Amino acid sequence: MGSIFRSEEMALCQLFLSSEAAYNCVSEIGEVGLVQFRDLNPDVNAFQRKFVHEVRRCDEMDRKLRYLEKEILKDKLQIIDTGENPAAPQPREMIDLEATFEKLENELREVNANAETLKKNSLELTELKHVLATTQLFFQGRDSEPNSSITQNLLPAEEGKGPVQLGFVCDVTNRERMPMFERMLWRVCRGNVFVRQSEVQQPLEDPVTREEVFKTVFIIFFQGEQLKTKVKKICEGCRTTMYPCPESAQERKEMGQGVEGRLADLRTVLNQTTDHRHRVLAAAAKHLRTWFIKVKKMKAIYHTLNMLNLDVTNKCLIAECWIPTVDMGSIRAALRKGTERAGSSVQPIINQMLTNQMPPTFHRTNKFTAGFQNLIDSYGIATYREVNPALYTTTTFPFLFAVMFGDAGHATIMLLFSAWMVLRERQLIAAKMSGEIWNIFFGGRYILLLMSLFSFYTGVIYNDIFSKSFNIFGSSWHIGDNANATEHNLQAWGELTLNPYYRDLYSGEPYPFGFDPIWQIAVNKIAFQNSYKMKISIIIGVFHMIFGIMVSLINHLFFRRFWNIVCEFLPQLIFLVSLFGYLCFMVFYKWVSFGSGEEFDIQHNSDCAPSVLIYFINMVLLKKDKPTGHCDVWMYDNQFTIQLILLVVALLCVPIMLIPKPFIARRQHNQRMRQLAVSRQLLETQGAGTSASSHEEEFEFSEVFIEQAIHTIEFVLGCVSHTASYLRLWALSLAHGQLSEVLWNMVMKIGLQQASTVGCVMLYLIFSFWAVLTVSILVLMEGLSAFLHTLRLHWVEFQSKFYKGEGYAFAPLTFKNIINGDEEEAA
Amino acid sequence: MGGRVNKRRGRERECVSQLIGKMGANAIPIGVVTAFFGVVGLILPFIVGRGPNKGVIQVVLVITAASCWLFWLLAYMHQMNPLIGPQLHNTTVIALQYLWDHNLNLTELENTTDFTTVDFTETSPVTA
Repeated sequence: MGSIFRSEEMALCQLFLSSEAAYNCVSEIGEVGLVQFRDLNPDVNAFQRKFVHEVRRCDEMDRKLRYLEKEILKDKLQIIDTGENPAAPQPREMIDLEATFEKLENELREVNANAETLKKNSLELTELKHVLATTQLFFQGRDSEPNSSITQNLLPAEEGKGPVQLGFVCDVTNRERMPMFERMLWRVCRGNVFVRQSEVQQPLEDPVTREEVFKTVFIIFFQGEQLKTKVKKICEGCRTTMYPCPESAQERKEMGQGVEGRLADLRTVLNQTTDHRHRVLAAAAKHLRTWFIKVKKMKAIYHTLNMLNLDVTNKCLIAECWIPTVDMGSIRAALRKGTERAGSSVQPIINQMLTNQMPPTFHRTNKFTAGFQNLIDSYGIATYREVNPALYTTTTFPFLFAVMFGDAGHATIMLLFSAWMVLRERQLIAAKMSGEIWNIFFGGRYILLLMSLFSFYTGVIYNDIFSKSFNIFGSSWHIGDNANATEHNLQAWGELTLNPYYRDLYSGEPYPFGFDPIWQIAVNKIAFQNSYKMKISIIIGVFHMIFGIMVSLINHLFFRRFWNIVCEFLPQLIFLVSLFGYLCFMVFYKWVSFGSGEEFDIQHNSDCAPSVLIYFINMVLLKKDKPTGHCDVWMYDNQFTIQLILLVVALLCVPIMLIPKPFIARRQHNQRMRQLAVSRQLLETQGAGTSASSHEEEFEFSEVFIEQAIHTIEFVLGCVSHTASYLRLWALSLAHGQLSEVLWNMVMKIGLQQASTVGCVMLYLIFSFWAVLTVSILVLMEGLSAFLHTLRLHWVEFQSKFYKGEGYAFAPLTFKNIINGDEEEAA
Repeated sequence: MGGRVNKRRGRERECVSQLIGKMGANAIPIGVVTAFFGVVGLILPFIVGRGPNKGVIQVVLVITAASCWLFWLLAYMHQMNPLIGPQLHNTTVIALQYLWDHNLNLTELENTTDFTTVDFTETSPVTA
């Protein structure tokens, strides 16, 4: 069945690679992606490893590439993704790549610096232009009115002095700084300066931050040298830019023209610079992705090469690695290819080693099984070669989820979403959407798809579609004569109960597929459904756990632990079946033999129907009830004896689980020790050297005994608690059904009961409210809740019957992540 | 099944459907559903499935068939011999008589007193 049933067989191999071919061989192995290298130099510092220089150079190249990427993204260019997979470049090509990147980086930095300078100049000239325009306006006003108030003395004129000449200074500053600046000027100069300002309409681009800022032009008029110095110092302190402004209109006009000319020139140069930069970046963008992949692959290869050992002759590198046995052929082919590309004549050697170490666990998954494998691995990686629960989880997980979610309407919503994700898979993967929550949903799309399909089925069986039922086959319940549903009676009674005894009320045959639709409109729906759901929860739970114990049998057979079959599997199975399997049997028996109607005799009628739970409790307590009325005490003949036998058998299983195994383990250990001693003696007499690591295993009998006791208690108590734990299937499906019903009754029904056109609008709004609540609470929240509980049922109740989960994951050197563009750090 | 009618102690071989009928069930739904899931779980695994995913498909089909059939069976058996019947509002009773059983004469109801949620004389589109 392949490796999804149990993990693959792994072999520990030694690789001998010649120094010239080592790089290419590792590159080919990385392409295949099925070899996990072991670090043979764990004590060596990262800075003392052999290839540390190459790794550093790769890091440097990576940095340059990231700078390039940032610049490309700033210009909003597209990085082309051709999907091709470039091979890792040869070591000698690294120098070429480094040179290319260096050249590109330098060119880009130069272009950027030039552009910055040009922009600064352009900004200054633009500001100067605005200053000239503004002062033109000011002075026009003054010159045309020789008697304007600016130059008129407020004090009585001193003879012969004439109009006072005011000095002025032109500045430009940010609009936000204006009020602060003005206030400071006013305070320092004691109100003896006059400021006129005008705002620049269009924003100017700041060269450093590349933001657009609004600026204000202003002129400060003052009288005298002292004020002039003060004003100049304040301007410098507030970091405004001062511009020299000539007094006469003629000079201003000439200056203005000069400024315009220079601005035009600057703009041309700036455009050419930006074009050049654009061209450089566009050329780089075409190759950027390929370069990234090449550099990352090189880095990964050098990291791997750092893990290898150099042998004594310094001519070849030795590697220890884990390889799946079935892939040996493809690894050999990869090595051959690598040697050819390196042009080396020395063939690499693979040598399989025998070892006691536990190999890594490797499950070969496809896109469907990968999600479920992730769920199982989150709890614990499977031990090497034990049965993989993920295979069964593909179906039992959605099924148990569906038992708790069971609503065909909500399932349809989920089905639409997951089907869209699955059908549009390729486009969605190519779109490379970010966002962790989306990635979680997308990664689990197959799980969601299966969950929704099963939920649809259980929704049909529960006959619950948005808390309403479909009546496809015709209900088995009718209002017959025996109901006495006359007008008079109905007015007197609020409610009427249909008695299943009469065949004109209950037709004698149940609704063929699922729940009868009458229950959805019945007042006592919950009482009927509770009894149903509790029973199915227990039955499903017991079957799930029996399945788990059967899987443990497969494990025992595979690992040849035959004593475990007798000491663990059989007593566990018998214990579970004789107690809880018998409980299930009683449920079935009661369903078949007790009922309401004329076919049932008086002891099997509905008023004599016993409680299965009470029987179970009495079985364990060995209690006999007293007969009451016309009802039998027992369901069938000799029930007490049979129950007693089952109880005794179950209790006998407990010491069988507890006691024999430690003794058997001790005997096996002693046997192994004796064999080891004998073989060592033989080897010594033959004169051969001692064999490899002789494990002096400690065997503490008390430890093993206590461990076995813990396992036994865990199983016995676990049987009871896990069986009860499956009742969460009932609890969650009840909660879901009730939430759905409340939402309908409190929200949607009100909308449907409105009359007239106002009601139409109200219904529209109420529907949207109902829809939002349905999706957010019932689909998302309840879905998440049921998912979590199903996960717990699998992890604890199912897997505790057989799963050890003590392995470690297979982590091969693979380039697949690099090609997919995952941001992962090589070790 | 013991204890229902003690006369049947003999070794007569009875037709399966009669046996099932005595349990308060109908043979046709049981047969159809069991046959459907039998095909899905026992026959399809041998037909479907080529290539590397054969094992996964087989396991999925078998577990699906088994669990879905069991789920249907539990719902069916629980309703086979019901011990309690549904308790209905009086308005629901009248609605059922009219809609499902078609044995209600609406004109007879016209001169009765108020029903809490339904007013038949105004909203009923048809007369019985």
